[in-house]
Amino acid sequence: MTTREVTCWTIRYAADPFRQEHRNIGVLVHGQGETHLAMLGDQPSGDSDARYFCRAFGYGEAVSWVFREWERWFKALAMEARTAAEIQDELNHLAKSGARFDAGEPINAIVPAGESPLVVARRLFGSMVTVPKIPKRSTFQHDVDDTFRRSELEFVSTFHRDVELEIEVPGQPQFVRLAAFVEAPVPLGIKLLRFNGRTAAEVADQANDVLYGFAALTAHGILGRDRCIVLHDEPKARLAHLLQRIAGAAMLLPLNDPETPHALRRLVHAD
Amino acid sequence: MPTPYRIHKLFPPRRNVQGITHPVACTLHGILKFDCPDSPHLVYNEFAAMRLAQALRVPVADGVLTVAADGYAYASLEVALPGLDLPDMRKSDYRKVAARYPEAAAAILAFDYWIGNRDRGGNIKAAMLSEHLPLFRAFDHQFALLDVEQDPARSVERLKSTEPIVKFHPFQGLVEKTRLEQWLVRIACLPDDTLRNCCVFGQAFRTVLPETQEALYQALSVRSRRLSEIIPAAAMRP
Repeated sequence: MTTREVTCWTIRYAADPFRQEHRNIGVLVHGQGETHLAMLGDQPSGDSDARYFCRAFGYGEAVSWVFREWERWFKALAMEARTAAEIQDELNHLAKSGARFDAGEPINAIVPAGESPLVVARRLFGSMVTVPKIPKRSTFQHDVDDTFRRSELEFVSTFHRDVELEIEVPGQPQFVRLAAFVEAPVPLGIKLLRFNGRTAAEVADQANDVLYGFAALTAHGILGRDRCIVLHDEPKARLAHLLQRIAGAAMLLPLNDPETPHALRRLVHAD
Repeated sequence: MPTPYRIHKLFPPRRNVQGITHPVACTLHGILKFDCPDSPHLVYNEFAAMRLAQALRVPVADGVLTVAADGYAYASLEVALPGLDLPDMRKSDYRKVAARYPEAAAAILAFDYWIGNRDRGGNIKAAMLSEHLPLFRAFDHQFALLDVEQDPARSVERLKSTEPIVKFHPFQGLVEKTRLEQWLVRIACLPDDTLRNCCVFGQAFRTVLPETQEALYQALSVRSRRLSEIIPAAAMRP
Protein backbone atom coordinates (compact mmCIF):
# COMPACT_ATOMS: atom_id res chain seq x y z
CA MET A 1 0.00 0.00 0.00
CA THR A 2 1.39 3.40 -0.92
CA THR A 3 1.36 5.93 1.88
CA ARG A 4 2.05 9.60 2.42
CA GLU A 5 2.67 11.92 5.32
CA VAL A 6 0.23 14.48 6.68
CA THR A 7 0.60 16.94 9.54
CA CYS A 8 -2.12 17.03 12.20
CA TRP A 9 -2.88 19.33 15.09
CA THR A 10 -5.52 18.91 17.77
CA ILE A 11 -7.54 22.07 18.41
CA ARG A 12 -8.07 22.50 22.13
CA TYR A 13 -9.90 24.66 24.61
CA ALA A 14 -9.06 25.24 28.27
CA ALA A 15 -12.02 26.54 30.25
CA ASP A 16 -9.81 27.45 33.21
CA PRO A 17 -6.31 28.68 32.32
CA PHE A 18 -5.03 28.03 35.85
CA ARG A 19 -5.84 24.33 35.68
CA GLN A 20 -4.33 24.07 32.19
CA GLU A 21 -6.63 21.17 31.40
CA HIS A 22 -7.04 21.35 27.66
CA ARG A 23 -9.80 19.40 26.04
CA ASN A 24 -9.66 18.46 22.37
CA ILE A 25 -12.42 20.07 20.34
CA GLY A 26 -11.18 19.61 16.81
CA VAL A 27 -8.54 18.33 14.43
CA LEU A 28 -6.67 20.19 11.71
CA VAL A 29 -4.99 18.10 9.01
CA HIS A 30 -2.64 19.40 6.31
CA GLY A 31 -1.31 17.38 3.39
CA GLN A 32 -0.77 17.78 -0.34
CA GLY A 33 -1.33 21.51 -0.16
CA GLU A 34 -4.80 21.24 1.37
CA THR A 35 -5.95 21.66 4.92
CA HIS A 36 -9.11 20.32 6.51
CA LEU A 37 -10.73 21.00 9.82
CA ALA A 38 -13.11 18.83 11.83
CA MET A 39 -14.65 20.67 14.78
CA LEU A 40 -16.98 19.79 17.59
CA GLY A 41 -20.54 20.40 16.40
CA ASP A 42 -19.87 19.77 12.70
CA GLN A 43 -23.01 18.40 11.10
CA PRO A 44 -23.26 16.18 8.01
CA SER A 45 -25.20 19.02 6.36
CA GLY A 46 -22.13 21.26 6.61
CA ASP A 47 -23.75 23.37 9.34
CA SER A 48 -22.33 23.63 12.80
CA ASP A 49 -24.14 23.14 16.08
CA ALA A 50 -22.54 25.18 18.87
CA ARG A 51 -24.58 23.32 21.50
CA TYR A 52 -21.90 20.62 21.58
CA PHE A 53 -19.22 23.09 22.60
CA CYS A 54 -21.49 24.72 25.19
CA ARG A 55 -22.44 21.31 26.58
CA ALA A 56 -18.81 20.12 26.72
CA PHE A 57 -17.75 23.06 28.90
CA GLY A 58 -20.93 23.72 30.84
CA TYR A 59 -21.67 27.04 29.13
CA GLY A 60 -25.16 28.34 28.48
CA GLU A 61 -26.10 28.52 24.83
CA ALA A 62 -25.91 32.31 25.00
CA VAL A 63 -22.14 32.03 24.54
CA SER A 64 -22.43 30.12 21.28
CA TRP A 65 -21.90 33.24 19.16
CA VAL A 66 -18.32 33.54 20.43
CA PHE A 67 -17.64 29.88 19.62
CA ARG A 68 -18.91 30.56 16.10
CA GLU A 69 -16.44 33.42 15.77
CA TRP A 70 -13.61 31.03 16.74
CA GLU A 71 -14.86 28.39 14.39
CA ARG A 72 -14.78 30.99 11.64
CA TRP A 73 -11.18 31.83 12.64
CA PHE A 74 -10.03 28.20 12.39
CA LYS A 75 -11.92 27.65 9.12
CA ALA A 76 -10.25 30.73 7.64
CA LEU A 77 -6.88 29.36 8.74
CA ALA A 78 -7.64 26.02 7.09
CA MET A 79 -8.79 27.70 3.89
CA GLU A 80 -5.96 30.20 3.57
CA ALA A 81 -2.85 28.35 4.77
CA ARG A 82 -0.78 26.83 1.99
CA THR A 83 1.91 25.05 4.03
CA ALA A 84 2.25 23.32 7.39
CA ALA A 85 4.83 25.93 8.38
CA GLU A 86 2.32 28.70 7.73
CA ILE A 87 -0.25 26.96 9.94
CA GLN A 88 2.33 26.41 12.67
CA ASP A 89 3.29 30.07 12.52
CA GLU A 90 -0.33 31.16 13.07
CA LEU A 91 -0.82 28.61 15.84
CA ASN A 92 2.35 29.82 17.59
CA HIS A 93 0.99 33.34 17.44
CA LEU A 94 -2.31 32.10 18.86
CA ALA A 95 -0.51 30.38 21.76
CA LYS A 96 1.40 33.58 22.54
CA SER A 97 -1.82 35.62 22.57
CA GLY A 98 -3.01 33.86 25.71
CA ALA A 99 -6.26 32.67 24.13
CA ARG A 100 -8.02 29.71 25.67
CA PHE A 101 -8.26 28.10 22.25
CA ASP A 102 -4.99 26.64 21.08
CA ALA A 103 -3.46 23.69 19.26
CA GLY A 104 -1.39 20.74 20.40
CA GLU A 105 2.07 19.93 19.03
CA PRO A 106 2.04 18.95 15.35
CA ILE A 107 1.95 15.22 14.69
CA ASN A 108 3.26 13.75 11.45
CA ALA A 109 1.08 10.79 10.50
CA ILE A 110 1.50 8.22 7.75
CA VAL A 111 -1.82 7.63 5.99
CA PRO A 112 -2.90 5.67 2.89
CA ALA A 113 -2.04 7.71 -0.20
CA GLY A 114 -5.61 7.67 -1.45
CA GLU A 115 -7.06 9.08 1.76
CA SER A 116 -7.85 12.80 1.52
CA PRO A 117 -7.00 15.17 4.40
CA LEU A 118 -10.76 15.58 4.94
CA VAL A 119 -11.22 11.85 5.54
CA VAL A 120 -8.13 11.79 7.78
CA ALA A 121 -9.46 14.77 9.75
CA ARG A 122 -12.81 13.06 10.32
CA ARG A 123 -11.15 9.77 11.29
CA LEU A 124 -8.80 11.44 13.75
CA PHE A 125 -11.64 13.55 15.11
CA GLY A 126 -13.51 10.33 15.94
CA SER A 127 -10.59 9.01 17.96
CA MET A 128 -9.33 12.23 19.55
CA VAL A 129 -12.43 14.25 20.40
CA THR A 130 -15.12 13.22 22.86
CA VAL A 131 -18.49 14.43 21.63
CA PRO A 132 -20.90 15.18 24.48
CA LYS A 133 -24.43 13.88 24.36
CA ILE A 134 -27.15 16.46 23.85
CA PRO A 135 -30.34 15.55 25.70
CA LYS A 136 -33.06 14.88 23.14
CA ARG A 137 -35.79 16.47 25.19
CA SER A 138 -34.18 19.89 24.90
CA THR A 139 -34.61 19.92 21.14
CA PHE A 140 -37.77 22.06 21.10
CA GLN A 141 -36.29 24.67 23.44
CA HIS A 142 -33.04 24.55 21.50
CA ASP A 143 -34.89 25.13 18.23
CA VAL A 144 -36.67 28.12 19.77
CA ASP A 145 -33.38 29.53 21.16
CA ASP A 146 -31.65 28.87 17.88
CA THR A 147 -34.39 30.62 15.93
CA PHE A 148 -34.13 33.70 18.14
CA ARG A 149 -30.35 33.63 17.87
CA ARG A 150 -30.27 33.20 14.11
CA SER A 151 -32.89 35.89 13.65
CA GLU A 152 -30.65 38.08 15.88
CA LEU A 153 -33.75 39.35 17.67
CA GLU A 154 -31.97 38.94 20.98
CA PHE A 155 -29.69 41.81 19.99
CA VAL A 156 -32.65 44.13 19.37
CA SER A 157 -32.92 46.50 22.34
CA THR A 158 -36.72 46.26 22.59
CA PHE A 159 -36.76 42.44 22.47
CA HIS A 160 -38.01 40.64 25.63
CA ARG A 161 -37.99 36.86 26.21
CA ASP A 162 -40.56 35.09 28.40
CA VAL A 163 -42.82 37.93 29.45
CA GLU A 164 -46.32 38.47 30.70
CA LEU A 165 -48.13 41.52 29.36
CA GLU A 166 -50.53 43.11 31.78
CA ILE A 167 -53.25 44.87 29.79
CA GLU A 168 -54.29 47.69 32.07
CA VAL A 169 -58.07 47.60 31.74
CA PRO A 170 -59.33 49.62 34.77
CA GLY A 171 -60.55 47.24 37.47
CA GLN A 172 -60.17 44.23 35.18
CA PRO A 173 -56.54 43.73 34.13
CA GLN A 174 -55.87 40.95 31.67
CA PHE A 175 -52.66 38.95 31.46
CA VAL A 176 -51.14 37.38 28.37
CA ARG A 177 -47.98 35.29 28.40
CA LEU A 178 -45.63 35.50 25.44
CA ALA A 179 -42.48 33.61 24.55
CA ALA A 180 -41.14 36.87 23.18
CA PHE A 181 -42.25 40.43 22.64
CA VAL A 182 -40.63 43.11 20.50
CA GLU A 183 -41.91 46.41 21.76
CA ALA A 184 -40.79 48.83 19.04
CA PRO A 185 -40.89 50.19 16.43
CA VAL A 186 -44.11 48.19 15.84
CA PRO A 187 -45.01 45.68 18.57
CA LEU A 188 -44.65 42.01 17.68
CA GLY A 189 -45.76 39.11 19.90
CA ILE A 190 -44.54 35.52 19.68
CA LYS A 191 -46.17 32.46 21.24
CA LEU A 192 -45.08 28.83 21.05
CA LEU A 193 -47.03 25.75 20.10
CA ARG A 194 -45.40 22.43 20.90
CA PHE A 195 -46.79 19.17 19.53
CA ASN A 196 -44.02 16.67 20.25
CA GLY A 197 -43.93 15.32 23.77
CA ARG A 198 -47.37 16.80 24.55
CA THR A 199 -50.73 15.09 24.89
CA ALA A 200 -53.67 16.04 22.67
CA ALA A 201 -55.28 17.87 25.60
CA GLU A 202 -52.11 19.84 26.31
CA VAL A 203 -51.79 20.85 22.67
CA ALA A 204 -55.45 21.91 22.63
CA ASP A 205 -54.83 24.03 25.76
CA GLN A 206 -51.83 25.67 24.11
CA ALA A 207 -53.89 26.39 20.98
CA ASN A 208 -56.67 27.95 23.05
CA ASP A 209 -54.13 30.03 24.92
CA VAL A 210 -52.72 31.28 21.60
CA LEU A 211 -56.21 32.22 20.37
CA TYR A 212 -57.21 33.88 23.65
CA GLY A 213 -53.93 35.75 24.10
CA PHE A 214 -53.70 37.17 20.61
CA ALA A 215 -57.42 38.02 20.58
CA ALA A 216 -56.96 40.08 23.74
CA LEU A 217 -53.85 41.85 22.45
CA THR A 218 -55.39 42.69 19.09
CA ALA A 219 -58.72 43.77 20.67
CA HIS A 220 -56.84 46.27 22.83
CA GLY A 221 -54.81 47.58 19.89
CA ILE A 222 -51.50 46.39 21.32
CA LEU A 223 -50.76 44.09 18.38
CA GLY A 224 -51.90 44.20 14.80
CA ARG A 225 -53.21 40.86 13.53
CA ASP A 226 -50.21 40.55 11.23
CA ARG A 227 -47.90 41.00 14.24
CA CYS A 228 -49.09 37.86 16.07
CA ILE A 229 -46.58 35.05 15.49
CA VAL A 230 -46.72 31.37 16.46
CA LEU A 231 -43.54 29.29 16.34
CA HIS A 232 -44.38 25.60 16.22
CA ASP A 233 -42.72 22.23 15.74
CA GLU A 234 -43.87 19.48 13.37
CA PRO A 235 -47.60 18.85 14.08
CA LYS A 236 -48.92 15.36 14.62
CA ALA A 237 -51.33 14.48 11.79
CA ARG A 238 -54.32 14.05 14.07
CA LEU A 239 -53.74 17.48 15.65
CA ALA A 240 -52.86 19.40 12.49
CA HIS A 241 -56.35 20.89 12.39
CA LEU A 242 -55.38 23.04 15.39
CA LEU A 243 -52.86 24.86 13.21
CA GLN A 244 -55.61 25.61 10.69
CA ARG A 245 -57.73 27.04 13.49
CA ILE A 246 -54.91 29.33 14.61
CA ALA A 247 -53.94 30.34 11.08
CA GLY A 248 -56.74 32.93 10.98
CA ALA A 249 -55.50 34.60 14.16
CA ALA A 250 -51.73 34.47 13.80
CA MET A 251 -48.87 33.95 11.38
CA LEU A 252 -47.52 30.41 11.66
CA LEU A 253 -43.77 29.91 11.40
CA PRO A 254 -42.42 26.34 11.60
CA LEU A 255 -39.28 25.94 13.70
CA ASN A 256 -37.81 23.43 11.26
CA ASP A 257 -37.98 25.85 8.33
CA PRO A 258 -34.59 27.50 7.68
CA GLU A 259 -36.48 30.56 6.36
CA THR A 260 -38.12 31.22 9.76
CA PRO A 261 -35.26 33.24 11.35
CA HIS A 262 -35.06 35.41 8.22
CA ALA A 263 -38.84 35.91 8.25
CA LEU A 264 -38.69 37.05 11.88
CA ARG A 265 -35.82 39.40 11.15
CA ARG A 266 -37.74 40.91 8.23
CA LEU A 267 -40.83 41.36 10.38
CA VAL A 268 -38.90 43.31 12.99
CA HIS A 269 -36.69 45.37 10.74
CA ALA A 270 -39.04 46.11 7.85
CA ASP A 271 -40.89 48.66 9.98
CA MET B 1 -55.33 54.24 20.82
CA PRO B 2 -54.05 50.99 22.34
CA THR B 3 -54.88 50.11 25.94
CA PRO B 4 -51.83 50.78 28.15
CA TYR B 5 -49.87 47.70 29.16
CA ARG B 6 -46.98 46.69 31.36
CA ILE B 7 -44.31 44.07 30.72
CA HIS B 8 -43.45 41.64 33.52
CA LYS B 9 -40.47 39.32 33.22
CA LEU B 10 -41.64 35.81 33.98
CA PHE B 11 -38.39 34.78 35.65
CA PRO B 12 -37.25 37.81 37.66
CA PRO B 13 -33.67 37.80 38.98
CA ARG B 14 -33.11 36.70 42.59
CA ARG B 15 -33.55 39.55 44.99
CA ASN B 16 -31.97 38.27 48.16
CA VAL B 17 -29.07 40.69 47.97
CA GLN B 18 -28.50 43.89 49.91
CA GLY B 19 -28.78 47.39 48.48
CA ILE B 20 -31.37 49.28 46.52
CA THR B 21 -29.74 48.44 43.18
CA HIS B 22 -29.10 44.79 44.17
CA PRO B 23 -25.34 44.84 43.63
CA VAL B 24 -23.41 41.58 43.77
CA ALA B 25 -19.71 40.85 43.95
CA CYS B 26 -18.22 39.48 40.75
CA THR B 27 -14.95 38.36 39.20
CA LEU B 28 -13.93 39.45 35.72
CA HIS B 29 -11.44 37.77 33.40
CA GLY B 30 -8.49 39.71 32.09
CA ILE B 31 -4.95 39.49 30.79
CA LEU B 32 -2.45 40.72 33.40
CA LYS B 33 0.51 42.60 31.97
CA PHE B 34 3.78 43.76 33.53
CA ASP B 35 6.76 45.90 32.55
CA CYS B 36 9.20 43.72 30.66
CA PRO B 37 12.59 44.07 28.90
CA ASP B 38 10.94 44.56 25.47
CA SER B 39 8.58 47.19 26.84
CA PRO B 40 10.03 48.60 30.07
CA HIS B 41 7.13 51.04 30.54
CA LEU B 42 4.33 48.69 29.52
CA VAL B 43 2.04 49.34 32.47
CA TYR B 44 2.24 53.10 32.07
CA ASN B 45 1.81 52.89 28.28
CA GLU B 46 -1.23 50.65 28.50
CA PHE B 47 -2.91 52.72 31.17
CA ALA B 48 -2.20 56.10 29.55
CA ALA B 49 -3.21 54.81 26.09
CA MET B 50 -6.51 53.54 27.48
CA ARG B 51 -7.23 56.87 29.16
CA LEU B 52 -6.41 58.77 25.97
CA ALA B 53 -8.60 56.43 23.90
CA GLN B 54 -11.46 56.71 26.36
CA ALA B 55 -11.24 60.50 26.35
CA LEU B 56 -11.67 60.41 22.58
CA ARG B 57 -14.09 57.45 22.41
CA VAL B 58 -11.60 55.38 20.41
CA PRO B 59 -12.69 51.73 20.79
CA VAL B 60 -9.92 50.06 22.79
CA ALA B 61 -10.29 47.19 25.24
CA ASP B 62 -11.14 48.27 28.76
CA GLY B 63 -8.52 47.72 31.40
CA VAL B 64 -7.75 48.43 35.03
CA LEU B 65 -4.71 49.03 37.15
CA THR B 66 -4.11 46.45 39.81
CA VAL B 67 -1.31 45.59 42.18
CA ALA B 68 0.65 42.41 41.59
CA ALA B 69 4.19 41.29 42.40
CA ASP B 70 6.35 44.43 42.71
CA GLY B 71 3.70 47.08 42.15
CA TYR B 72 1.21 48.19 39.54
CA ALA B 73 0.21 45.79 36.78
CA TYR B 74 -2.28 46.38 33.99
CA ALA B 75 -5.22 44.02 33.54
CA SER B 76 -6.75 44.18 30.08
CA LEU B 77 -10.30 42.87 30.31
CA GLU B 78 -11.26 40.02 28.00
CA VAL B 79 -13.38 41.08 25.04
CA ALA B 80 -16.76 39.31 24.60
CA LEU B 81 -17.80 36.96 27.40
CA PRO B 82 -16.16 35.84 30.65
CA GLY B 83 -13.77 33.02 29.81
CA LEU B 84 -14.49 33.18 26.13
CA ASP B 85 -12.95 36.13 24.36
CA LEU B 86 -13.01 36.81 20.64
CA PRO B 87 -10.15 35.70 18.37
CA ASP B 88 -7.61 38.25 17.14
CA MET B 89 -8.23 39.69 13.70
CA ARG B 90 -6.58 37.67 10.91
CA LYS B 91 -4.61 39.31 8.08
CA SER B 92 -7.23 38.20 5.60
CA ASP B 93 -9.87 40.05 7.64
CA TYR B 94 -8.34 43.55 7.53
CA ARG B 95 -10.49 44.63 4.61
CA LYS B 96 -13.67 42.96 5.93
CA VAL B 97 -13.24 44.48 9.39
CA ALA B 98 -12.61 47.95 7.93
CA ALA B 99 -15.75 47.58 5.82
CA ARG B 100 -17.89 46.38 8.72
CA TYR B 101 -16.54 48.92 11.25
CA PRO B 102 -15.50 51.96 9.15
CA GLU B 103 -15.77 54.42 12.03
CA ALA B 104 -13.74 52.26 14.42
CA ALA B 105 -11.12 51.56 11.74
CA ALA B 106 -10.68 55.29 11.10
CA ALA B 107 -10.49 55.98 14.84
CA ILE B 108 -7.82 53.37 15.48
CA LEU B 109 -5.76 54.39 12.44
CA ALA B 110 -5.68 58.02 13.58
CA PHE B 111 -5.05 57.03 17.21
CA ASP B 112 -2.14 54.72 16.34
CA TYR B 113 -0.39 57.43 14.33
CA TRP B 114 -0.91 59.82 17.21
CA ILE B 115 0.54 57.59 19.94
CA GLY B 116 3.22 56.14 17.63
CA ASN B 117 1.95 52.59 17.92
CA ARG B 118 4.27 50.49 15.77
CA ASP B 119 2.62 47.19 16.68
CA ARG B 120 -1.07 47.23 15.75
CA GLY B 121 -0.94 44.18 13.46
CA GLY B 122 -3.79 41.87 14.34
CA ASN B 123 -4.26 43.29 17.84
CA ILE B 124 -7.94 43.86 17.27
CA LYS B 125 -10.94 41.77 18.22
CA ALA B 126 -14.02 42.22 16.07
CA ALA B 127 -17.25 40.22 15.92
CA MET B 128 -17.90 39.34 12.30
CA LEU B 129 -20.87 36.97 12.32
CA SER B 130 -23.62 38.60 14.36
CA GLU B 131 -25.17 41.44 12.43
CA HIS B 132 -26.77 43.07 15.46
CA LEU B 133 -23.93 42.64 17.88
CA PRO B 134 -21.23 45.05 16.79
CA LEU B 135 -18.10 44.57 18.87
CA PHE B 136 -14.72 46.05 17.97
CA ARG B 137 -11.86 46.53 20.41
CA ALA B 138 -8.20 47.28 19.80
CA PHE B 139 -5.70 46.16 22.42
CA ASP B 140 -1.95 46.10 23.19
CA HIS B 141 -0.30 49.50 23.33
CA GLN B 142 3.01 48.51 24.86
CA PHE B 143 5.06 49.52 21.82
CA ALA B 144 3.74 53.08 21.71
CA LEU B 145 4.12 56.28 23.75
CA LEU B 146 7.25 55.85 25.93
CA ASP B 147 8.30 52.61 24.24
CA VAL B 148 8.44 53.82 20.65
CA GLU B 149 12.17 53.45 21.40
CA GLN B 150 13.90 51.70 24.29
CA ASP B 151 14.84 55.09 25.75
CA PRO B 152 11.76 57.09 26.85
CA ALA B 153 13.47 60.45 26.17
CA ARG B 154 14.16 59.33 22.59
CA SER B 155 10.53 58.12 22.29
CA VAL B 156 9.28 61.55 23.33
CA GLU B 157 11.60 63.21 20.80
CA ARG B 158 10.25 61.03 17.99
CA LEU B 159 6.66 61.74 19.01
CA LYS B 160 7.39 65.45 18.95
CA SER B 161 8.71 65.18 15.38
CA THR B 162 6.62 64.81 12.21
CA GLU B 163 7.83 61.24 11.73
CA PRO B 164 4.93 58.81 11.10
CA ILE B 165 6.61 56.14 13.32
CA VAL B 166 3.91 53.67 12.19
CA LYS B 167 5.42 51.63 9.35
CA PHE B 168 2.51 49.30 8.74
CA HIS B 169 -1.11 49.48 9.78
CA PRO B 170 -3.86 46.92 9.08
CA PHE B 171 -6.27 49.67 7.98
CA GLN B 172 -3.73 51.46 5.81
CA GLY B 173 -5.52 52.51 2.62
CA LEU B 174 -8.85 51.11 3.83
CA VAL B 175 -10.24 54.19 5.56
CA GLU B 176 -12.08 57.02 3.82
CA LYS B 177 -10.25 60.34 3.82
CA THR B 178 -13.21 62.36 5.12
CA ARG B 179 -13.83 59.93 7.97
CA LEU B 180 -10.16 59.93 8.97
CA GLU B 181 -10.06 63.71 8.84
CA GLN B 182 -12.94 63.89 11.31
CA TRP B 183 -10.87 61.84 13.74
CA LEU B 184 -7.82 64.01 13.20
CA VAL B 185 -9.93 67.02 14.12
CA ARG B 186 -11.27 65.27 17.19
CA ILE B 187 -7.73 64.43 18.37
CA ALA B 188 -6.49 67.97 17.62
CA CYS B 189 -9.41 69.42 19.59
CA LEU B 190 -8.79 67.37 22.73
CA PRO B 191 -8.37 70.05 25.42
CA ASP B 192 -4.85 70.28 26.79
CA ASP B 193 -5.98 69.83 30.39
CA THR B 194 -7.79 66.59 29.48
CA LEU B 195 -4.74 65.37 27.59
CA ARG B 196 -2.51 66.24 30.53
CA ASN B 197 -4.90 64.45 32.85
CA CYS B 198 -4.53 61.25 30.81
CA CYS B 199 -0.72 61.27 30.88
CA VAL B 200 0.38 62.96 34.09
CA PHE B 201 -0.27 61.34 37.45
CA GLY B 202 1.49 63.82 39.76
CA GLN B 203 3.88 61.20 41.06
CA ALA B 204 6.21 58.51 39.78
CA PHE B 205 4.30 55.75 38.03
CA ARG B 206 6.47 52.69 38.42
CA THR B 207 9.70 53.81 36.70
CA VAL B 208 8.08 56.72 34.84
CA LEU B 209 9.05 59.94 36.57
CA PRO B 210 6.65 62.93 36.69
CA GLU B 211 8.90 64.95 34.35
CA THR B 212 8.78 62.15 31.76
CA GLN B 213 4.98 62.07 32.01
CA GLU B 214 4.93 65.83 31.50
CA ALA B 215 7.26 65.59 28.51
CA LEU B 216 5.04 62.93 26.95
CA TYR B 217 1.97 65.10 27.40
CA GLN B 218 3.69 68.00 25.69
CA ALA B 219 4.88 65.82 22.81
CA LEU B 220 1.38 64.44 22.28
CA SER B 221 -0.07 67.92 22.40
CA VAL B 222 2.26 69.04 19.61
CA ARG B 223 1.70 65.83 17.62
CA SER B 224 -2.08 66.09 17.88
CA ARG B 225 -2.00 69.35 15.90
CA ARG B 226 0.37 68.02 13.26
CA LEU B 227 -1.29 64.67 12.63
CA SER B 228 -2.69 65.66 9.25
CA GLU B 229 0.85 66.28 7.94
CA ILE B 230 2.20 63.16 9.72
CA ILE B 231 -0.20 60.60 8.27
CA PRO B 232 0.88 59.70 4.74
CA ALA B 233 -1.69 60.19 1.99
CA ALA B 234 -1.47 56.47 1.18
CA ALA B 235 -2.98 55.66 4.59
CA MET B 236 -6.43 56.77 3.45
CA ARG B 237 -8.56 56.35 0.38
CA PRO B 238 -10.26 59.26 -1.31
